[in-house]
Amino acid sequence: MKITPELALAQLAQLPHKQPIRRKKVAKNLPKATTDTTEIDTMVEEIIFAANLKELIVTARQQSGFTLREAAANAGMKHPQLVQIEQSSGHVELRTLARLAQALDFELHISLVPKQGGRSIETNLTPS
Amino acid sequence: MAIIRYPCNPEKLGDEPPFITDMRTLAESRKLLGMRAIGKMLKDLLINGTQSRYLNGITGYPILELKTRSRGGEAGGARIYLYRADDQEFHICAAEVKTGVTTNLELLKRTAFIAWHWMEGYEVFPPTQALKRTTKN
Repeated sequence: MKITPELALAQLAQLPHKQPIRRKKVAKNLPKATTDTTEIDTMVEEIIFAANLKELIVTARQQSGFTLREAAANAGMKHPQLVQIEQSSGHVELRTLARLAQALDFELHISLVPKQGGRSIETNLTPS
Repeated sequence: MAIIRYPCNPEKLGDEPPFITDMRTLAESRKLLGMRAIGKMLKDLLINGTQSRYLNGITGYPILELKTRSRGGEAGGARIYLYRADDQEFHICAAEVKTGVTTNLELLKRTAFIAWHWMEGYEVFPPTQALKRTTKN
């Protein structure tokens, strides 16, 4: 049966409120459930991290004037891999990021900045 | 303790769960305070289940929402739309950080669409990798 979101909403309105929506047959292949609060913190942090990384890469690529395809080719990556990174759904290794930065005519510098003040530690990870 | 799962759009099981996409959108629009409020509410739901102080019914529907008690600001606008799949199992379908007080009809419909498919026995979770055959016998 094909149903629209509007129809689904109308049908659900007939069910008792505040009660579980029970499934008519046993569910198979259920993914692992989240049961631990630390998993939620990790999920939020990972999403924020990915969004920051996405912004960094997209801004650098746009500033360099490369298309996605050109940037991927310069970095020796496959086009879909870069698309996935830019859609903030992919994980990217530091080495890949360094290669990508180089391909976009940037250098990748990492700084460790002490929160309480003091001397920062910086390194240039751009491939030589 | 309760448990949480993130169902997918039953018509696009290959895509990531829409709740995760909502969170990415919030992160990209730098609504970090709202995201932290969403995380806080989910943690409270895990710990307290149906007794969570953020949990409310949406009038006229078996759909639930988690909403913050603070007024105004990003944290005050944080909302999560979900349904209860079992006594202490919740399926999280949508999240937003909004300015008004009315329920977001689009997100309510999305939640209902997933919940209806769950109820009727359709898949709302992608097949797990573990079940795929990886070696030839």
